[in-house]
Amino acid sequence: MKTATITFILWFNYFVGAYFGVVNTILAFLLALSLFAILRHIQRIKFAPIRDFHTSPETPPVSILIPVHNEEQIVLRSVRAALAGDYPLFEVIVINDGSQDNTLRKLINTFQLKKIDRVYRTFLKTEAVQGFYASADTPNLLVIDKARGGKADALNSGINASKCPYFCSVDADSLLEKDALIRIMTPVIESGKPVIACGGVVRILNGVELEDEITIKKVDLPRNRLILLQIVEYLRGFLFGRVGWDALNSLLILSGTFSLFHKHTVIEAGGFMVGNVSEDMEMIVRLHRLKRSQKKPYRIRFISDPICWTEAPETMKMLARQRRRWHLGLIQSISQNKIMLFNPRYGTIGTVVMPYYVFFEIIGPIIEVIGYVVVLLSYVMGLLSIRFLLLFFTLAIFYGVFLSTAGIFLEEITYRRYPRWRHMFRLLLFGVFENFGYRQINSFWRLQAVLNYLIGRTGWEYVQFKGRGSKKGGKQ
Amino acid sequence: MHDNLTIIIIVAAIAALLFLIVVLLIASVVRRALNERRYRKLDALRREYREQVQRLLDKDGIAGHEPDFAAATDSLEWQAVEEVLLDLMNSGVSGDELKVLFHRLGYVAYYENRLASRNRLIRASAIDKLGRMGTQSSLAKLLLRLNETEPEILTVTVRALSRIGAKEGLIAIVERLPVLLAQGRVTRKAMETALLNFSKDAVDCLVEYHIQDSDPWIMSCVLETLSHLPPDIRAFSLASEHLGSANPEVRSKALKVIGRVEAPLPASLPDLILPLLDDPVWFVRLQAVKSVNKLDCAKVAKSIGKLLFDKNWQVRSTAAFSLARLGTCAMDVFLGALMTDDAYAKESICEEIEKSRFVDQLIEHLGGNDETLRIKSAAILRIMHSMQFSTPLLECSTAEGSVRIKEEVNKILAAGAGR
Repeated sequence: MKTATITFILWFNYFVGAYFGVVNTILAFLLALSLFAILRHIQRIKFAPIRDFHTSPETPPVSILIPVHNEEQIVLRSVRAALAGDYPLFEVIVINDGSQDNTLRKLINTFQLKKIDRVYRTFLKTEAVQGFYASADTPNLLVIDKARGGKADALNSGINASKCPYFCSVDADSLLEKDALIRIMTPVIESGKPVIACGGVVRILNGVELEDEITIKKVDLPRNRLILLQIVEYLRGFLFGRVGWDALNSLLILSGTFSLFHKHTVIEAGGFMVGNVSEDMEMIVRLHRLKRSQKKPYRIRFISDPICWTEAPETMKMLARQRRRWHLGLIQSISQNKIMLFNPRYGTIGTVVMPYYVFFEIIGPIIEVIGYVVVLLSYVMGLLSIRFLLLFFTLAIFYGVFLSTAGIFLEEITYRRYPRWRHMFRLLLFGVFENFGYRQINSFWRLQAVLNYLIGRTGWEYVQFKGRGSKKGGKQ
Repeated sequence: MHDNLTIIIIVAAIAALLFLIVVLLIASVVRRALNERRYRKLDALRREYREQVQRLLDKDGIAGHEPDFAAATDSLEWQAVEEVLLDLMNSGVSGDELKVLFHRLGYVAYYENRLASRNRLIRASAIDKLGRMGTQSSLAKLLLRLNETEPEILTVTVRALSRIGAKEGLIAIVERLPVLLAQGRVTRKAMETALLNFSKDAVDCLVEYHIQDSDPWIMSCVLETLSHLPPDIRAFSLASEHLGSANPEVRSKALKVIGRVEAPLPASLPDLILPLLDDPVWFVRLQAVKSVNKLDCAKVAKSIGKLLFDKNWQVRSTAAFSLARLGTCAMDVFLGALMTDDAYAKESICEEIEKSRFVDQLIEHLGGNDETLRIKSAAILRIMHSMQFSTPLLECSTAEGSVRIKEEVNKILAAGAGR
């Protein structure tokens, strides 16, 4: 019995080692792809027709949808930033999702809004709309006041009211760069295949100095170490994770903080799913599902030059909530569309990408957390040699350091938005630190999300941002 | 032996990883240091050249001063001069003079040579630069690029030719439209945007080359482009001929062109547009409603009125909006429609009456001396109030203004059923 247990533990150790090896190989492959894709994209930006599209009547109109719930501290900033966008024809629709604070009053007073009567066509079923507000001074701004239904419901309400063929979802605590819309629209206009969704890069706003409340004046790094770790993580996630998947035409995640969608296709897919804690990801999965079953050509793109800045949680408690919610959303999105899993009818999405997400993203944290504990205990109990322990740390930690450094290197050779020497050194330093504790804690939070899902605790966990009292993430 | 080998492999793996990390670190540092130096110098050069060019342009022109701007190919000076001149061209400063300068300084020849590169991005970048420099001498070489099959090269070439704006370029594009648009090599939006850069010239060319075109995809593109160019009688004729097309998109785009016609309006206009208000395809009816705005109210109000009950909400809304813009002469039609039981139609009408601010006229009529108008306006406003479109009435009742109007408004509000 004892021998069998030891054999099992040893094999489990080997399995964990092999698991890290496979994950790292996939990540290395993505990194190589991203490097190639991103350098080519940088070349292309030099002759991108931004100026032409900016003045062309052919550039499709866009609705910017900003769902807000108790965001009185920051709602004006995000609406002003959206209104200041450089785009030929766009409307900004703010959806006040049952705020109990002064969000609506602030909007009404600042933009001189008046209640208007308007027909509300429910292409997508939503909670009751209580009123529409508009102003003659800002004709491209519409505020919808509705009963609380969560972010997905608010977005669906915005889609119902939108009069444009495309909409861009933007979080209330985010800030669009002026040319972000025209840049995110460029692949839609220039692609031979219909682009039904397109995502841009989300960067962390904490530490950034603003001018007129809405323009980035100086990009700086914050003092908060947790934010620094998140900056490194975002760089890695956006610059080589998503770019790599995009190069394979296999994107399964676009950030709801800043993504463009083809409205008709989203309505056809049934709109954002109320009850899913990560409605953005679930929508992308469902769009794949819809288009693959229709056997129609389509693309879901991610491009690395349109930028949206967003606030990140500054405390461990809030970060934990955010990460648990993201992971829970991932699990829900996959399980709600499990028919696609291993199903050749859905092409590479069903046979490669979704299995990847199941084995390496959903189950990954379980293996990682248990793996760290078992490997260390096995070594302490003398079951494992120092050689294996070294190999394990090489695969689990040092390789992670390499990937984090590579993410920062990608930023350096491409957009270099952190201009000072000390920025680069701090980011590199935190790229190393990230792998000693932060990633492991992240895995632990994700494991908690898996357990929560298994025991049926699937409610929203709201994230409160320090200093301004706004909440992100839906219901309390 | 086996153990030693394992140790060696592990250590080698760790060393390799550390080596890669250090390489990335050093590469980041070196790259940043080099770039910082390079861009500091480039900024200074750009400032210097911009001032110099501006000084010359303000005085007696650049001609004869070419040696001041000559630089070794690909040097920082070369890059700075190019950027400064392109910036000035974009801002519309002395375009012709700058085009000659690009030529004399060797930029045109340099980028023309790069057109032969095997690397697609280098070729695309060279094409784009030649287009931005606007030199007609490169036309022949750029036209050859239209024979390529790469979508990216074709798109950039079309755009470059449109920036140069020469007729040969336009003809070449228009002649090849079917090939260029085939299989999305150049997307329609990109093509239409480029064609619009040719402005008025594009009208003649598009009409001349495609008057007989039977491909609906091409014809839609041609008509869509024409609908954004200045109104022209030849475009009107071309569009008129395609109103009977079997393809609904062509019919819709033809209506769009026709809707832009300017006074004096052709006598045939009502006969051309009105039949399409009954088109079986909703977006053709929609475009027809948008296009009838210029016609005499008496002729069209009843026809548009029928579309207030269309099964498609976009058509219903646009019809209501068109009628609201026609104003008082459409009141009977509105009243008739509002008396029906069709809630969807009534909602659309109320919304558009409010949005188009026709509601202000209706309220104004309440205080007027024309009894018929007053009664009809009150009737419409009463129905709007019953449909919960009461905001203008509520605003009027609290705002300062005519006492008579306020009394009438209060009577309507008191009639109830609104909010």
